[in-house]
Amino acid sequence: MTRRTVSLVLEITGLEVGYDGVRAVAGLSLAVREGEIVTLLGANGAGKTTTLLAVSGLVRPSAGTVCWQGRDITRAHPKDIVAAGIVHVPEGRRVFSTMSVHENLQLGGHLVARNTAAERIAHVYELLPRLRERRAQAAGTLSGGEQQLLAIGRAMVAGPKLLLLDEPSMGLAPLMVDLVMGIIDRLRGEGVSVLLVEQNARAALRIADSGVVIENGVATTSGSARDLLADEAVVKAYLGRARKSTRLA
Amino acid sequence: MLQVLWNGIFVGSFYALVALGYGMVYGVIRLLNFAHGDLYMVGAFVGFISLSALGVRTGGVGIPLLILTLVATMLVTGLLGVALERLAYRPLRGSSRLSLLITAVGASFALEYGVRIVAGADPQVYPVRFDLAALEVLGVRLSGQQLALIGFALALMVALHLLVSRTRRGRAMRAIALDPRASALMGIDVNAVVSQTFFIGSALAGAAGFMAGAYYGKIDFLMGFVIGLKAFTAAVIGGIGNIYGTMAGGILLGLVESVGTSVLGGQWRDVLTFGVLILFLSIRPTGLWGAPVAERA
Repeated sequence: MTRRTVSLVLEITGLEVGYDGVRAVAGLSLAVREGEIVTLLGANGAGKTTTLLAVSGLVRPSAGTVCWQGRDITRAHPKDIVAAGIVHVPEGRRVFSTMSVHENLQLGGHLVARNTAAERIAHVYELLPRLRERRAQAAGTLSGGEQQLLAIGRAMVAGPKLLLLDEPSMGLAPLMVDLVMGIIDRLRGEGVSVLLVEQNARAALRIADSGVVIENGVATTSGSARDLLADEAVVKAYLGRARKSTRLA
Repeated sequence: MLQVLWNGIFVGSFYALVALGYGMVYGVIRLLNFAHGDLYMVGAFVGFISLSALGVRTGGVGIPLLILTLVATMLVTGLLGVALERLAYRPLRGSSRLSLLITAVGASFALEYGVRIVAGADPQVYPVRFDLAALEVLGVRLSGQQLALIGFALALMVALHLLVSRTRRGRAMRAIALDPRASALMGIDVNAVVSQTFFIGSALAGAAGFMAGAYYGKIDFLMGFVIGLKAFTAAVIGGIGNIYGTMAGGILLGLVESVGTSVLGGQWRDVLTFGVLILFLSIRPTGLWGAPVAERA
C-alpha cells in the first residue's frame, strides 16, 4: 500500500453524498496514481456508482473533496471535468441509440477540435475494427458487447487521462469480457489511469493494480490487486466461489 | 383547384414554422410548451411596434427594411423564449410532467394578458402592405407577398435543417433529446443547449408571427392561441419531435384546411384541423413519420 507518490492524479478525501436523506457515500477516501487501474469492489448499493458520479460532477457531494492533478474539482461543472481529462463511461453504456456509431464517436469529441477528434476516431477504428464495420449503423442495433466497445471508444475520443468505468462487463459473454478488459489494459499502456467499478471482481482484479473495497459508503479495505485476490475475506465476500478459469494472471 | 393547393401550401408553411419550434422544444426536453403560440403573437406585436417606431405608416415597404424588422423580431422573441425557459421551466426540470404542463399554460396566459396590458385589447392594423408583382403560373395567382413569405419560411427551415444535421451544436441537441445525462458526460453543457433550443424555436415562432401580421394585416393578443393548437396538430401529424415530419405535417395541415374549406365552406376550417388532431391522437399518436426512433431535434 505505497500511496504517497508524486504521480498521484486523483485524490478523493472524506467524500459524502446523500440522496433524499440517505447517505450513499459516507466519508470515502481513495487515490489513483498515474497509469494505474484501481478497481472499486463492493455489494450493490455500497456507493460505487455514486462515487464515480461525484467525480464526474453529475451528483453534488455534501462534504469532502475531489482533487484532480492537485486541483480541487469538487464543484466544477461536468463540462470542465471532461475538458480536464476525466471521462466517465456510465453503467449500462448509454450510447445514443438512434444515432450512428460514427456520430456517437463524434459526440465523444464534443469539446475537442475537429481535426483532433477525427484523428482519435481513426485510432478507435484501428483499435476496434468492429466499430469501423458498423460505423453507419444505429448504435442501438449493436450487440451489448459492441455497445460497450462503442461507449469506451466514445470516451477515448475525448482524450481521457482518467477513465471512470462503471460495470463495463455487465451482461457480456465471457469472450467479450476478455476483449473489454484487454482494451482497458491497453489504455493503461497508453498512460491512461482507470477507476473501474466491477461486479465481476475477479476479472477486474486480474487487470487492476490495486483495489478498494467499499461497504456502506466507506472504503473498508484496500491493497494491491494481488493481495486482495489472496485475501480470504475479500475472496469470500466479493469473488464468490472460485470460477474455473483458464486465464489466471 | 391548383389555386386552392397553393393557398394550402402557403398557410401550411406558417404552421410548419411555428410547429418546428414546438417540436424542437418537445424533442429536447419533452415539454409541450403551450406558450409557444403566444411567442408567435408576441412576434407579430414586436414587428408591429418596430415598424411603427421606424415611422412606417402605410404603403409600400422595401424588402431590406422588412428583413431588418424580421431579424429584430426573431432576436426579441428568441430572448423571450430563453427567459421563459430560465424562469418558468428550468426550476421545474425533473419534477412531474403535469406541473410543467400547468406552468406552460400559465406562461401562455401571462404572455397573452401581458401583451394586452401593454398594447390594449383592440386589434391593431399592420402598417405594411407589400407592393410586389404577382405571378401567374398555370393559371394560379402567386402573389408577390406569398412568394416572399414562403421564401423566408423555406430559408429558415433549410437553415434549421443544416444546423441540426450538420453542426456540432445540432448533434448535441439530438444527443440531449435521447439522453441528457449521457450528453453531460460527453462534456455537453446541457443547460446552454436547452437555452439555444428555446432561442431558435421561439425565434422561428416570432418570425412566423411577424410574417402573418404583415400578410393578414390585423393582429390581436389572442391570435397565438389557435395557431399554437394548430402547430401542435401539425407536430402530431408529423410525429412530434421529428423535425422533417413536422415540416411536412404543417404543409399537410395547410392543404387539408385549404381543400376542406373550398369544398365545405370556411366555417369548417377549425373543425377540420381539430378533427385531424383527434383522429391522429386516437389512431396514430406517433404521427406519420414518428416511429419513436425517428430523428429528433
